[in-house]
Amino acid sequence: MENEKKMITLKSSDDVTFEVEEAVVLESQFLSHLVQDCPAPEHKIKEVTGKILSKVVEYCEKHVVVVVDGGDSSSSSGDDLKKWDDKFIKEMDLSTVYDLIAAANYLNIQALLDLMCQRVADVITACKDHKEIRETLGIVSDYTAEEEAEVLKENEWAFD
Amino acid sequence: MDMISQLPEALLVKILCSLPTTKEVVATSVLSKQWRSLWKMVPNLKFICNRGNHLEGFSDSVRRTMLSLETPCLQSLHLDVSLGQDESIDDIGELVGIACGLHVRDLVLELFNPVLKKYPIILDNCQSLETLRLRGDFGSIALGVPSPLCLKSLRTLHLLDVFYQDDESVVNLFAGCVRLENLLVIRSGHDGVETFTIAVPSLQELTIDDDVYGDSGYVINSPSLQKLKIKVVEGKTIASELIMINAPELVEATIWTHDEFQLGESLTSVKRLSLRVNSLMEVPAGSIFKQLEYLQLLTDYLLSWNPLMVILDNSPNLQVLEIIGEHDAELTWEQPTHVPQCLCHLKTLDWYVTGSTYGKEVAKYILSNARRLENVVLRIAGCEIEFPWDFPKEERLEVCHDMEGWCPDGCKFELIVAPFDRDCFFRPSYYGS
Repeated sequence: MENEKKMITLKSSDDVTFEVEEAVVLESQFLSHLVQDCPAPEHKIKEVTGKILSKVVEYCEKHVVVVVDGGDSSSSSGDDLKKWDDKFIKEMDLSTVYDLIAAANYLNIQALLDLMCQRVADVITACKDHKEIRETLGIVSDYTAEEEAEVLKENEWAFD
Repeated sequence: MDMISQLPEALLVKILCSLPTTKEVVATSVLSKQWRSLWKMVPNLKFICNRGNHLEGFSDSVRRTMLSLETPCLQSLHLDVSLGQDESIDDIGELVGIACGLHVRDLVLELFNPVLKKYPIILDNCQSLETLRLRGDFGSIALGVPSPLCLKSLRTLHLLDVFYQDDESVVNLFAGCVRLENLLVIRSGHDGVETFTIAVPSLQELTIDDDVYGDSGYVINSPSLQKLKIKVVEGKTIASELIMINAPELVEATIWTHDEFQLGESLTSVKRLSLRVNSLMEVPAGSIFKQLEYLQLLTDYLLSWNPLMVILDNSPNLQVLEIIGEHDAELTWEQPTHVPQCLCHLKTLDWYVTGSTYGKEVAKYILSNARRLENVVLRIAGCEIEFPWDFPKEERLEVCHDMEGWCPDGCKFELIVAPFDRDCFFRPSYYGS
């Protein structure tokens, strides 16, 4: 006997639609509440663009499938998932990562939020000093030379 | 403004939380004014001090960072200190005290020193503490608990290579752990304790890995205990008289004492049992393992196959039998006068062969009598390159041929050749960080 899968349509801020299974939507705390409270066939998500929502859907679809197939989440499916996550983040530029952080936070998808924050942290860790971090993340310092020297002195132990 | 700085502060803090240590977190203070004080919102602190890297300023930076936090509580403090030959750190106990004062929830202290110096840690009442992990090295952490403690939120406790002031310190430590569920004790060298007493009514999982010089004794009085693992180091044995277990709810037990063992009433409730002993004391009348479904027997310390037959005879509901056979001379075996009841419905037999012999007669007996077997797995130690201690290749074929031939009709037979790693059976997943 095959269960009829309930489909739900998500519409991005720029009106791109995604038809997904209900199980995929349940990966997001925000969406699962939305779907429960308002049983409409289509849900507009004003805060997320089509480009980012497609990534969110891709991530959730992958994670739902693996958890269901894995049953007791065996280690091999865990390893596969990790490999998939690594590939997923590697292909992404930082501005997409930031947008996904904001989207994962808004939609309340904890695992995706963790994954994306870890990606930025890894980028920071790979830099050899604060100048390289600024360059990589595109941060412009608004410190004067004196202020910067003061911060460096204040937390001297962290800069050797 | 740059894109990352447009993220809300809470998300920037979350990114900072994913950095490996507090050093990297604090270093972001120089990026721009927005980042200057963000590090003070990160409630997880981790400091690593390796040999020779600015030890003199270490305690000071830990202390100042803790006291500068603007978070509601200190979620975690992890200190990982490796001292050099002529280095010492005398205020580590004070840092632990400050963390407790800041209501720390998770505390990890790892202290490695090359000289045999003991650093005293006095644990005070720390009611917020949920996880505590102490990892010493040659007794580098000397835990003193002069009077009973109140650690009322503590759920997980790991004590690795810790030195205890005395037996009383152990008793006092556990006395106030009213919610402790998970306890891991790894002991080595001389750790100051003769009898390790664990009387924790809430405890559910206990793992003891014993590498203490000389005799060590245990009193385990934990009526809620569900999982128990006791392992002593290779070459050492612990006699049953030294282990007293009161755990009537026990579901899973791993007993690797390498000595004669008393399978007493404390184990009658178990569903899964792994044994590595040399022999069994007479099983008391009535102590029948009605619940036992899975038995794993490591044969390398066994003096004969008798213990296997005793357990089979007393375990009417056994479904899975796993033999980890590792010996170079056949163990003595006497065919029993009657067939154990459990063999009639044994479903799985998993036989690991390593060493140069494996218990042919027993295997034949079990396979010939367990007529409802569904799966037989024969594992043979070895890999592509043959080592002299592996089972010789030509004999492997013979074992395989024999076993498959003895299998009852309709039973699935599988041969797996893989390298042998005994410790994987103890599943020491907790050794990592």
